[in-house]
Amino acid sequence: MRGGEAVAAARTRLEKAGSELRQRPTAEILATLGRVLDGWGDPGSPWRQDLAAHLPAHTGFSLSTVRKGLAVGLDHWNGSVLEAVVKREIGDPARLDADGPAAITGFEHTACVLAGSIPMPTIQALLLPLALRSPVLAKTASRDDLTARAVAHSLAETDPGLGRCVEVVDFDSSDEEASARLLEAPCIVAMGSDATLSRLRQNVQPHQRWVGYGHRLSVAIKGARVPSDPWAERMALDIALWDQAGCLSPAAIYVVGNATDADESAASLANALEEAEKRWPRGDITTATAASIRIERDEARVRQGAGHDVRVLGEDSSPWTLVREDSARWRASPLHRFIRVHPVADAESCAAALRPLGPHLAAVALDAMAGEVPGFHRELAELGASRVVPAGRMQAPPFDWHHDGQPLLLPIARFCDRE
Amino acid sequence: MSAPAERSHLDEALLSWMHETPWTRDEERFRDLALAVFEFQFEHCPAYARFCQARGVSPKEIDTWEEIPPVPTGSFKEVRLACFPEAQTQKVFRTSGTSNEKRGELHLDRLDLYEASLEASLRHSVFPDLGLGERMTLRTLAPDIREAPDSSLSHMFQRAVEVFGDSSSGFDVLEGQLQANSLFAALDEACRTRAPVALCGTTFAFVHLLDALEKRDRPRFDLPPGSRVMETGGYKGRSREVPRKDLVAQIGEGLGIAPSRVLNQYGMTELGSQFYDSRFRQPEHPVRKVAPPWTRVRLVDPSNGRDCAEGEPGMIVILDLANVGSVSAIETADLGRRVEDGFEVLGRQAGAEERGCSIATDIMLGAAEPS
Repeated sequence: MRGGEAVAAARTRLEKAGSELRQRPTAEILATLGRVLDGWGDPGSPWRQDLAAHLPAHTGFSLSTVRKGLAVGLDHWNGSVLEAVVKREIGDPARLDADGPAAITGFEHTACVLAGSIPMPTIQALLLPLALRSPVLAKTASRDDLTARAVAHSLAETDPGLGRCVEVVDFDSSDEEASARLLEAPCIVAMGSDATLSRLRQNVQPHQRWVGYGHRLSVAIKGARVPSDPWAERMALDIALWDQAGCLSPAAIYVVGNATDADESAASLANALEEAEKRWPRGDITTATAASIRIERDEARVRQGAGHDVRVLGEDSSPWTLVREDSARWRASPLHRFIRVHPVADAESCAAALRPLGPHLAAVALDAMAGEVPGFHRELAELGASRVVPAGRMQAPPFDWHHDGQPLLLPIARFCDRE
Repeated sequence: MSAPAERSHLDEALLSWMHETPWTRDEERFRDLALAVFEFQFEHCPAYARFCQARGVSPKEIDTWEEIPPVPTGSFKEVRLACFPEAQTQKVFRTSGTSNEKRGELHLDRLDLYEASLEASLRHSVFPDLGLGERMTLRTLAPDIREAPDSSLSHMFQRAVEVFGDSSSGFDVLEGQLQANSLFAALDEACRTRAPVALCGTTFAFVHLLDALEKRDRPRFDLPPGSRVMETGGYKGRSREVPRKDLVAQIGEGLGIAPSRVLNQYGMTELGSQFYDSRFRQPEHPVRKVAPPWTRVRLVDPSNGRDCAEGEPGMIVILDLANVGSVSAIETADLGRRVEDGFEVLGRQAGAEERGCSIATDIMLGAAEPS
């Protein structure tokens, strides 16, 4: 079946499943979703184990990285976290059923355009609309056609009726017919590059609900007085997980202090990255990525040759690279365990360095001793960060994290006020 | 030997090679000259020397040109990679970019070598049918050097017009806009006189030309046999992107120039030499980029620095002896693969394989860089 036909057929099936779903009480649905989340949060669940076993072949991540990534990302997810999100954003879940002063409903169906190959955003994107009794039509990411199907399977196994409310379609992004049919949904949640989102949005009408999650990056900040070794071990985990390819992975580190402080932190982190490599080896990389890494290493070495106070740590054969920069100036990173450590004189300089990144900022791993960076949390929030966490927790966003600074359910819900 | 004498000796040897026809690929001659150029650059470009030393390489320790350490093209944005005092600079070519961005710079203390290299390649690959002193109409879809004095591309087109162009030749881009009227008048004249014309320019300018042709209320051009197109540089966000196959087909439809007469050039500001498609000289062979005799191109596995097998994708690493006053060994951001005695450019493919959700972070942050 062609992509467009497959999408149309999936929509037809969802119409029937959706009308059955809307007859069911919200409490029952939330309870079922809670059981599904309990399963995903359980390291021993067959769903988790099956996904962990198959994800490496599809994504190139190493098996131990996937296992650790799922453990860090999912172990604290369970049914009660969904309940908490509903309470926070909707109040009493009964409001989703009741004919009260404000009727709250989901859309007839929600289209999810998935991206990347980190499972947690996919799991969340598929479950949230169901909490509002909106069935889901999901287009898989080009690098991961597994997770969405695994989530659909977990739902079907827990509650066949709910399982019928998730349809997963694959098609090439150049398939305009399939894309057009997908984007006819009354509510669209799209993840991807800014360019992808811009392209998709051109086909969305003003009356449709659009929720886009585009380019984001995260950084880490370390105060000079924070002991380097324990920090480095936690930071190396944040870098190693998902091979630094997630929007919550640190793309750069800023060490408050002088060049010696940055050197000391960099040396500890280099050791920790080497150790992390033994436990969670970097996955496969393409020739293009290997070329980018080689170029960035050599480019730093040329600057060093020209007298800039720059150091490259890591052998040519190392899967990780650390460049201790000589200034706070942002430089692009090829990622895949390539990290730059920038010295910054003080909190003010750090904020200045981060300002241009503000619109793209997701998480900041902030480790500082009392008084080192006073009031910095507020400043980071104003810059645009949506999470401030200690090192080691970057890849463990709670289920109720305000993804990119937004509520989770409200953007995909409809309100009808009665006066 | 003193620095000027040493340099002069190298320049003369290179100039002599560039003036020779037909091109001859002489491995021993290249090796000897490459090692001598490396020794000169190691001696006179301290940043490069320190870079090489950090890699454990010095002229005394190597005996093949493949061992010469390449620098990334990006380094030309950061460091002055030149083997002569700044006061002796005759010309600086800069990469394209906005005023907020750092731009790569190639510093030259003499232009004759640069020009000899580009003329030799143009004659060999773009105008192989023109005898010495013969000329043809050459219309250029790029700004002239008054408008873009630091553009190596405009400089190259200027020299092409001076050396190969007749009195009807000229530039058809002004202040960034295609001058469709002047260009169409020249093309009408070529159609009337049946004198072949060469259209040379940036890839995105050809898209602008196709758009102008769409709006033109007259039949398409049927340019005379012998006409040709040479395009280079890609799109750089300056026009809509058209797959190359479609671009070539649309040029055929709009101008009457067959796909076999559309030639692509691979070049970059940081290099003194350029690489052209082989199709005019060897139409019966697979199309590939041809390296002039004073250059070598390696396709390298970036994870270990070894040469890739034929057909395998690798990083394009170039040794261009025309860069004698700068650094000759260059590591590009492009991927390619070896095809017969030449190579094919596969492009940068940046971000194509990203598997997380911060796709193309590097690209995005070009825009986020503090000014």
